[in-house]
Amino acid sequence: MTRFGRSEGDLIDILEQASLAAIDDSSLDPKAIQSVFVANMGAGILSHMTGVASALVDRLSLYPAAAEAVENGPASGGSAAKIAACAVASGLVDVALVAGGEKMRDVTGWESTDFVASLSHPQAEYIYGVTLPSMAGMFTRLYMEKYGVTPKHLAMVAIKNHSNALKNPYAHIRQAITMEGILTRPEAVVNNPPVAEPLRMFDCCPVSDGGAALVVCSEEVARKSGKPLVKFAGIGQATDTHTVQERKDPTELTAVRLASQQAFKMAGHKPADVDVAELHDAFTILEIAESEEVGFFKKGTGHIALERGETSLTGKIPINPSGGLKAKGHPVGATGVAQLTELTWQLRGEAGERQVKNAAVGFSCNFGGFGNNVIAFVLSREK
Amino acid sequence: MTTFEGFICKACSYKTYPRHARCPSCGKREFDTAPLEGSAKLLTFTRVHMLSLAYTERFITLGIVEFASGFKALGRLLVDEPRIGMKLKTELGPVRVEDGEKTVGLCFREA
Repeated sequence: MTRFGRSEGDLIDILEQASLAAIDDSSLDPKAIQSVFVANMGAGILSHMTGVASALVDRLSLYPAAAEAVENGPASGGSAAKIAACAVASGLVDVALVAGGEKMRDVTGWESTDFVASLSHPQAEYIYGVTLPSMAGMFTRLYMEKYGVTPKHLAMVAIKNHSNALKNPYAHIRQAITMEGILTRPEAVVNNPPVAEPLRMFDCCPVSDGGAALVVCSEEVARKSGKPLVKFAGIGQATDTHTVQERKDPTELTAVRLASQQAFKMAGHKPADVDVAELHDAFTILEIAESEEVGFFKKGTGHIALERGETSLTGKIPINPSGGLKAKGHPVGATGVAQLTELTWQLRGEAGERQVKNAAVGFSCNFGGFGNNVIAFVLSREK
Repeated sequence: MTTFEGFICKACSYKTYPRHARCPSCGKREFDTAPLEGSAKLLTFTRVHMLSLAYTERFITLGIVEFASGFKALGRLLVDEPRIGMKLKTELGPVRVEDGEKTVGLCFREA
């Protein structure tokens, strides 16, 4: 993958860099790649570019490999990986390249905010000036009211994930933060201004450029490569209402729960079997809420597990060792792929300073819209 | 005149806003309509400081409400100190101004 943050090149440069790294890592002959799936949400709007999958095949001279772009909002990466896994599992191809990328920092903050908000309902949400942070702000307020989550718990997620990102050379924000600096000292309001109350700046992921890529292949091909094997043990996906207001209980992330249940069922694993997880913490509250919906903790107790240190790098279930979207960054099309890249490194024992000891089962949750399209994966280390 | 309407399934009376082609509850395709108006209760809210394009205000306040009629909708809150559960009254007003063109939407004031 590429270092997330601000990239000098264009979107295809980002995809190229991530793809070459994945191809080199796989030890496979690039001629073996029969299909290329590119995850991207905003090339048409942000980069004035369409046909990005064809452009990437051309840049990498992978002809005549098939090429498709997958746009599924912030869940584009998970979707592309799922489709690649299906293509290999069906026998349609033996080797596929999945590359996710986004170039978000060529436009102003107002424009990137508006671009992401375009996934909201045009008449019932967008016209009112809804932003993704505003949806998360309303969700957070209800969660606080119902479950006793406080600003301190939100800050604890940010502090943990910033600390993890210090150990990740690919992370966008590599800056240690403290409770005093972002919450409790009088000057914290300057360091950490409100974005969409009760959420503040350090509750929100940064706007990032970046790319991530994976080579997905059949077990037979993988065994010949001589690399440590990581398997898609389970995949799940579920949708929910477009608008948050239509949900019976807006604090329930039903699509997260259903996608996770499907993935665990397919894998033959339980949430308690997971050694390391990458959850879609575009906002700090989402790490807490998702940790409950995927089944790691009972509903309404994720913040208590966080307080106990259970989600820290050395805790019972380390969440977001990469730094998560919060600190690693969130180039929207790349995110779902980057989660899988991190899990692959973790399961191979190649995650360096942020390595979770003896990680054999990994889990990721890629969250599209405001929870209206969610993809979950269980990955396992194979002998 | 601009109106905002909710949809009531003719088969099972399930209420939805915005429109669906099929009822989310029973799957049938015929609906009656009813205006989104009158009194409402505030379910949640946020004051948005980092705004999208087309907004020049320092902040705007958005909320999700439940109408006395049972419909739920998001709209602009014209309330200084919102509280979950507070009673609101509905009006239509500008919610977006782009290139001088105003978009009208649901707005809510304290009842």
